[in-house]
Amino acid sequence: MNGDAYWLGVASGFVVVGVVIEMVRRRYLRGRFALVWILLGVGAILLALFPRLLERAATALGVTVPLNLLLFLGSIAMLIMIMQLSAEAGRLRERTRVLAEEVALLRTLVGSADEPRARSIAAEDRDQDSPR
Amino acid sequence: MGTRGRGKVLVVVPAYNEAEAIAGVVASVTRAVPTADILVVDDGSCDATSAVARAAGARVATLPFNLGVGGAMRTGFRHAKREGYSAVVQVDGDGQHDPAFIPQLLAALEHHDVAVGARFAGTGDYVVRGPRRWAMRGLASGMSALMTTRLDDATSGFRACGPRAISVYAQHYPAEYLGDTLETLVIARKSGLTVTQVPVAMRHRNTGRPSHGSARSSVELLRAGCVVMLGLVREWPVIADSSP
Ligand SMILES: Nc1nc2c(ncn2[C@@H]2O[C@H](COP(=O)(O)OP(=O)(O)O)[C@@H](O)[C@H]2O)c(=O)[nH]1
Ligand SMILES: [Mg+2]
Repeated sequence: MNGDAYWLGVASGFVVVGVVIEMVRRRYLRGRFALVWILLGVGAILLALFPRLLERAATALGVTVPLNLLLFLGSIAMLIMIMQLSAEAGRLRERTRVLAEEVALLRTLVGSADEPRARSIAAEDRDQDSPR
Repeated sequence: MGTRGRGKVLVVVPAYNEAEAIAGVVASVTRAVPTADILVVDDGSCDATSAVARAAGARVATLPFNLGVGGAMRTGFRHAKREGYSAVVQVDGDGQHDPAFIPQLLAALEHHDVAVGARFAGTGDYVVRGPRRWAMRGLASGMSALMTTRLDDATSGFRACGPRAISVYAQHYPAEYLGDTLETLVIARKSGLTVTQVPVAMRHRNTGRPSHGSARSSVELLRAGCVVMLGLVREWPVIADSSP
């Protein structure tokens, strides 16, 4: 591998880790997801620093072209992350639904004292998040 | 935790943009079962459904955004469970279900957990033709076999549920397409509830338009099959009742 590409790889690994750490610091990324991203970033740096790691792993697994191994592992990792995100989205959706149902029931208890206001709040909600 | 509903019947009316029909529905339900409480669940309607229903004398739960019939019904079931109602009757907000049949549905709850008002079981003149009819027939025989009881109209939303069913549905009421009709029956079966049907006559829709036409029927049948399969493989754990 020529020198430029080598340093490009190392630099992008550091950029990923740096961005992740900054996002965690600003609390845009939380919990499990932050951990996964940091691990991926560190993995990228290691592979960039020591390209022989990839070659040796490829030989050990019987993969002729090392780059193919990298692409394969990369797509597996992405697939897992996407599945996780889908599951998370489903869970959040379900929780939002339950909350909406509870809000509706609570509103019936609060009664119609502030009904016009409740309606206008509901209308605002709709404007922001139009029904399916 | 309330006790307002102890031993009483709660009629839950899912309504989405039914301002024109809802007052009539509330009035006829009141006439048919004067002792029952009525909860209209307004599913984020853009019209005056909530206000009209309240003016007609119903209790109204207004969802902040559209959740579909499943979400609306689960709201009703959750309310029923919390307040201790002994039966929940689902009546559509478009006036197609005739509340005069509610007492018969309730009577069927003496021996069963769920009573489905069936449009094709002999009473009335509700006719559907062409592919939609075949799809519904196919569905009926499939569901009857699966449920080991005769169900001519598994997609009917005119139903009554007893206390055990209320507990189950307060937790699990599917929100997906057809989940509110077919999958709920599968859930009933998997939860050990018994289901029966009561012949009812269906009125024709007088305001608005039905949510699905006949052209999409075969696709619907396919999707129905998927819904039932999903319902069968999913788990529906009934969490022990922790509330007093
Ligand atoms: N909660 C809720 N109810 C709905 C929605 N769409 C339709 N409905 C209600 O479901 C009932 C049946 O709807 P309808 O379109 O007549 O279905 P059909 O009778 O099966 O053709 C009516 O009471 C509608 O107001 C929705 O998005 N949310
Ligand atoms: Mg209808």
